[in-house]
Amino acid sequence: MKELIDKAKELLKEKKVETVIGYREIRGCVVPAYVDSPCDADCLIFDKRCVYNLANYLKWFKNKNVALVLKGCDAKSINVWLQEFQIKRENIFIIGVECYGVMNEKSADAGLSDKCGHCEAHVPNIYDAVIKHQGDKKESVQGEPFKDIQEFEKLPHDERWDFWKKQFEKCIKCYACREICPMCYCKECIVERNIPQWIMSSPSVKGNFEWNMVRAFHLAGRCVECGECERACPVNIPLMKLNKKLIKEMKELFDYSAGQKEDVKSAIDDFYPEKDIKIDDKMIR
Amino acid sequence: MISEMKKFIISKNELKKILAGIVAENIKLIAPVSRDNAFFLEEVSDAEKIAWDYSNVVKPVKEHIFPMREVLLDFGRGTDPPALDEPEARSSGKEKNPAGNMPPVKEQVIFGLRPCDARSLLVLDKPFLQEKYVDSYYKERREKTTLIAMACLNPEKTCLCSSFENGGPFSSAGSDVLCVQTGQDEFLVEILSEKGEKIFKNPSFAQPSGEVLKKLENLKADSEAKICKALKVPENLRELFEAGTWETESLSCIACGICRYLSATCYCFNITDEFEQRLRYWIPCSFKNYTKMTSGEISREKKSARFKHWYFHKFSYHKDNFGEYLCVGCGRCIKYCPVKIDFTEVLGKIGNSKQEQ
Repeated sequence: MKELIDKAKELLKEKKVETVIGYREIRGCVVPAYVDSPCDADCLIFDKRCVYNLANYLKWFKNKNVALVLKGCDAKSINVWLQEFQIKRENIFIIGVECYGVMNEKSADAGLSDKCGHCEAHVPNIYDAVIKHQGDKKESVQGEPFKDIQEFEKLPHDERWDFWKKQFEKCIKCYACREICPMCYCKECIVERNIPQWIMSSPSVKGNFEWNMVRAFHLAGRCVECGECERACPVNIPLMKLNKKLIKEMKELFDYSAGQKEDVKSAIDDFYPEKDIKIDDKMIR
Repeated sequence: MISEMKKFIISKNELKKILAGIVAENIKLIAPVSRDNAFFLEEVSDAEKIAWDYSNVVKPVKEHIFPMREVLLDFGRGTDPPALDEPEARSSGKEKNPAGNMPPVKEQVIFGLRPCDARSLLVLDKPFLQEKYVDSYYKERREKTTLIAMACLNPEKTCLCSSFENGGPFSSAGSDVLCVQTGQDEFLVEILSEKGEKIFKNPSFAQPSGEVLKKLENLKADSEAKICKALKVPENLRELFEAGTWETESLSCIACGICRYLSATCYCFNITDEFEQRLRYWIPCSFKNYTKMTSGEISREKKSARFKHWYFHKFSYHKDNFGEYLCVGCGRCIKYCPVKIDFTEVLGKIGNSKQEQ
């Protein structure tokens, strides 16, 4: 913890950044913290309750010098932002934190979040400084990362349809999944366009399907699996099931995983049908 | 007139039988059901499916009086909008009601809502049923609804209903019937209105003994002691409109709609046409397009302005207009906030801040 606080103090003292966005504890909960002066930096913490992907706050700090405390999964979103020319690398200082899993806020036993089960990014793949993990380093579960998706794919079409219908019936269109997602940064979301209106804005099952499909497809090759959408959803829609399906398709078809490097073209930016599509049963399916 | 016997004891099975009787009478029964580790107030056709071990439901009861999506008008040209499962439905022209002939609103009984939610309808009645501007859609549903509330034995740490006049985990305000689970298989039922009396017409239930009434008092005290949050609105809130604290407090807000949609009392809506229907549906003031004008102008473009507006509507404007806060202390906005913003804390900080010049 001291390492983290010292780094934040140093950055603020030397005026390298205007703000450090990190985590702090308040009334027993961990919340995002904005630290503007070195003397306030003592509140910064990092532990397994630090679930938020703070890269999301860059939406409101695009052209400012900020330092962000980022876990491995969160830091991947910075790579996507850089690939998509949304931020300048020199504007942000990444305080990477070595992480061995955050808690699952939605389960009563406070076990690790599902996303941490197959984590490959304990140390961020992009950082300016890294804070070492203290204590046990528990390796992730090995094995097939897409097991749940493969099993779901085996279900008959009607069963899958009914599953999602029941899930999307609950959707209230609060758009928390969109607002908490660092990858959802469009100035005007397609659901907000009403001249002409492409997507029904009222919360009906049909409109909810449209919204959730658009969201998932727009994240194909961009979702970094931070799991924030699923965590934020107040009605417990398993959104990561959709995201993971597309991650799996991207991996199998284009051998591409989002947010690995800042200096390679993003999958959508680097698509040549003659070269890239592997024609096999998969495509026809 | 409500008959003299207002309170009685009933077993769980008898209660279920009464609820099953409601369904048998072709009245819509809405009760808490469990879905994916959360509870929702939904229409049930079988009293056995009702959940009993919930703390509160995710969506407040307002959704059954003032639906998330409501058809106001139907220009019905004889076809339904395309159904989800049938993309061809539009061209195949399914028969339906002629223009303007809206499906009738069914009578409904809502069972198991918490006292905070029951009270929220009293708060919502004021804007929707004002003398001059009565909302006929709201009015019809409200009149056709009977509320059977279930007192809270285990309030959550986000609850603050006792901060309000006639609020509290055992409050009967707004309910037609209030049930309290006084034992494993024992419920104390209190009839509070004629509507409620209609449901419990069987006179053979046992009167509560002194012992049960004492137990009730103890349960009530226990429950009230579990509420640890309190609402404190700064008296000079109106003068703090320009306080810089709004900006700093709104930094972590992500501007989603959870606190507005899940609020028991937020009632803003939008009206648009979709296919052949004019709809009204909920819209939260946290969205940019909430204040989007025809010219494209957005009057609350900044996140902090939208953040602040919610507080001012709830704790200032509504009080000026209707004499009470637009809040019943259900605590959903705290519980479901993805970044754990606690409005009681924000109000505290605002109260401590100085007016910026």
